Amino acid sequence: MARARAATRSDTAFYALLAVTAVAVVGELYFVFLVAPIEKRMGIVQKIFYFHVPSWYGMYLGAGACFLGSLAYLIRTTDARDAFARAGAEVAVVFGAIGLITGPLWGAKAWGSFWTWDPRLTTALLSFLIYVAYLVLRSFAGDGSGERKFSAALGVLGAANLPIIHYSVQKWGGQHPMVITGSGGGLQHPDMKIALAGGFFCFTLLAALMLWARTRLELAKSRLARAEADAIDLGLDTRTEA
Amino acid sequence: MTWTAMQPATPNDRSETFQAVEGNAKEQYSGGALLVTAYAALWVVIFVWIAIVWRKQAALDARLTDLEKVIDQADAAKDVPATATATAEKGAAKGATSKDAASKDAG
Repeated sequence: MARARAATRSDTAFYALLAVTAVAVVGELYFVFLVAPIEKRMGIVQKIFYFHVPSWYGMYLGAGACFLGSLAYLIRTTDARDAFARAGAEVAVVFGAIGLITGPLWGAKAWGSFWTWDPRLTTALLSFLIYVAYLVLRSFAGDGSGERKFSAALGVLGAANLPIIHYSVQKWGGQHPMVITGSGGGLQHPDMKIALAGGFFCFTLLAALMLWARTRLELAKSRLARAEADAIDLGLDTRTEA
Repeated sequence: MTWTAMQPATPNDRSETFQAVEGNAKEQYSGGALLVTAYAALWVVIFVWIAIVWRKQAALDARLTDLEKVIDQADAAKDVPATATATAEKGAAKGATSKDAASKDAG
């Protein structure tokens, strides 16, 4: 009874977060397209920036969750920790894919080519591939204790590349803009700053929502595996009975 | 001529500022198609992901509910004979005790 009540409360909180996220995203789209000014040199394509940068931030959040979940799993193995790490990796891949799609579309206009082997682009692609590798490992290597531990090690080591992405533009140069962290003028209109802050807010909510949804799914999978084991213990044929 | 052509990018030629357009300046280099593609891609990726997770969760929940129901039924069926045996044993023990008491009284 208490478990059912907790599940209902959790569902309510989840749908409340979903509603807040939907409202925030609609508000952000309105602000980006109808309020934030067009950039002087790049024109309307600059508006990609308001979702491109937050998408990489979302990737960092996912990767951070994968790192924390993996580290916690290596300290003490629980289904919830493993589920959180896996959810983090998937969120990192989703947001990384968005960043890798929107970035080249910006580059086509700004640099005249979709891709250059710029240090930031290269390290970002490498990080994306690390989390793709994590998910491939989880999908094809089985779900045993050894595989989970190996994946957790990858989740911890994979995070080592994150600071390299961040500092690559400062250390190795390249063409990637430094509008936020550079020493230039940054965003020179208050509405541009609000649009970017809104983007960060929306992607924080989206990342939280996706992490929650994916963790729930992984926990349901673990519960199903236990239920199947119980059914086998009781002598039930799980393929036909359920 | 594009902005890129006017200012060819060099390895360290990066943007450090964004400025709002002044007055009613017309956009010379339309990035509309690129912008629409970027936003479409963003929503396609997110909605495809949501659809996949939603479907997986629904399938898992359905299977889990069915399986837990079957396990509960099997548990209940296992408990019924056990309870019946325990009641019978208790009844037999009670009968034996009253028989002993009766024989004591008679003695």
